[in-house]
Amino acid sequence: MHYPTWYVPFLTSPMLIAIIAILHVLVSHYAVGGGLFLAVETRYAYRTNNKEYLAYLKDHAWFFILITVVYGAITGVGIWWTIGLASPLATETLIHTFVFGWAMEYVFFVLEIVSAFIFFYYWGRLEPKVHQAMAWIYAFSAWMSLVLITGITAFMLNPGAWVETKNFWLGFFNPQFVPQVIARTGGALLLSSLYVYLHAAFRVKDTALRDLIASRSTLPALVGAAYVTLGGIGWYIFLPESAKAALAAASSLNIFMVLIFALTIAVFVMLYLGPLRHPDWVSPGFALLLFGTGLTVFSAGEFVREAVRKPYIIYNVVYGNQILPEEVATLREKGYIEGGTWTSAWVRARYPTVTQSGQIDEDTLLALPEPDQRELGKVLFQYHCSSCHATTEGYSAVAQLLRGWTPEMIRNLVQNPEKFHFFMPPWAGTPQEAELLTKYLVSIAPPRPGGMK
Amino acid sequence: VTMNPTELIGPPSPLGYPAPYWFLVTFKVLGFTLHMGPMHLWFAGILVAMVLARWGSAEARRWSARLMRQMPVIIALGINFGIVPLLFTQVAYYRVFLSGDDPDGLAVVLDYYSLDARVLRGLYLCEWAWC
Repeated sequence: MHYPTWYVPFLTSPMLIAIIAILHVLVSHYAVGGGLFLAVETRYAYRTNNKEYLAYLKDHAWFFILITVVYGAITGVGIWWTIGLASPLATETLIHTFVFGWAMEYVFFVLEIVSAFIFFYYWGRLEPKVHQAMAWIYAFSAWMSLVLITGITAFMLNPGAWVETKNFWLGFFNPQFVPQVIARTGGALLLSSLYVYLHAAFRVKDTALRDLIASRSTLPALVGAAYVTLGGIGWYIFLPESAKAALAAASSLNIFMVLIFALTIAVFVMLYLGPLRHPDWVSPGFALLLFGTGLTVFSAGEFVREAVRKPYIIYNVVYGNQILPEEVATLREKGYIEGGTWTSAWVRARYPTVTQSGQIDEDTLLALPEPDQRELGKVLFQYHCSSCHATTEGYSAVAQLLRGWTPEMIRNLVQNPEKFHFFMPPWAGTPQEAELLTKYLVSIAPPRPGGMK
Repeated sequence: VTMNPTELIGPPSPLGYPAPYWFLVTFKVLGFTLHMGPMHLWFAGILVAMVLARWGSAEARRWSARLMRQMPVIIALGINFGIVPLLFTQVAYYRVFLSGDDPDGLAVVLDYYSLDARVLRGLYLCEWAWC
């Protein structure tokens, strides 16, 4: 509201963030678990003096650096840059609260890069002890970066006592912190094993070596899967009541939850039957199937974790449409257009006749020609609603949701969205502005489908 | 439609600044200075390395291969050193700054959509071409 709106046609901006975020977490978890894999396995290879395994680990380290250090960094900044555009008020709130959390994370990122650089580029030129130490420094730094970012993302789902105290540590160690750290640590272990199977299946021709790699990566995968389950249970227990209700109410989330449970069981079964009992099963096809199944579970889990926050982007702090809960009463009285920095400047410049004594006269807005009223309704839609809804086509397109509705039904919804659906934010404008939005929505809502009895 | 730019400055945050203003600006400048080094090596270095690899002497080709071999880490450092100025700029100038204003933002978006493919494709291309 105090920033220009960023309208993403068809997809909506939160869905764009979801896509980028999922692509990032699939790699960032590998960056953590893979670091631990390299540390543990390099130690094992040195201890057993297994030169073939050591050579494989060097090959894997190059793959690991390209995927995590470069791709992971770019997608990570991609998320940040996109949330800054899509949810500027929520981003402002997060960086004001956690600026030093991110600064600490940055220190660990630099440690990660430097240790990864020394670990890979000085391979064979360092004493085994120093070489292994570099791997452990990397693994610890990567896990610390997971811990730090989890404190911030978990805060968005349940900020706990921070809402009253505004205390950094209470916000960071919020009720969701421990469950999500457990789940993400498990996810990192599981996902890194799936990457290892995939890489080894395509790169290693020696079957004995491939079997060794497969069997050594199974325990971390199984432990990781158990941690994910444990963390997932904790995540559910510490969800706010509205998030639990959203999980039960939204049919798309029901489908995702069934998918998560079914595919998690499938991953367990494949790990048991494959790498644990029959390491020779880890062919490129099997590894791809296991990798794809694991990635699907992860992606669905991340989507559900994000989606249950509605109507908030930060629970009880910022609504999904970039309004603070405490601003709603004022905006209902003063007007959304007048209260918004950009909407007010635009309307004053575009329709100078609606301003009286320096204020936008709400009644005059309804005296404008009908096309102008619809145009204002469209602007209100873009600021107030487009964070969750596309217009006529696309993700949760409002026109499709209102198909066949009468103007009176639409008016009621606009004035009381939170009463129709608890996961929608309340209307934050005057009755006149509600009328402008209604007129716009009526103009784009298609009629009830024909041919129905 | 002509709008008055001063009307577009948002209200102050109820949370205030998390640190003194001078502290935020100092770290912004320091972070940006660190960011510049690897970014120059990344953007200009790749071009120079490509030219030297194609038309350079044996020594120039060796130098080009060496730089390209280290490019993943240079890129990672460039991005990570960029976090500091972006973070402190967002905190210090939040009333007038949107991430879309960031000149580096365009590079980040371009990188995001193009470098992913380049990295994956370059995984073994590097061994073939330069390394």
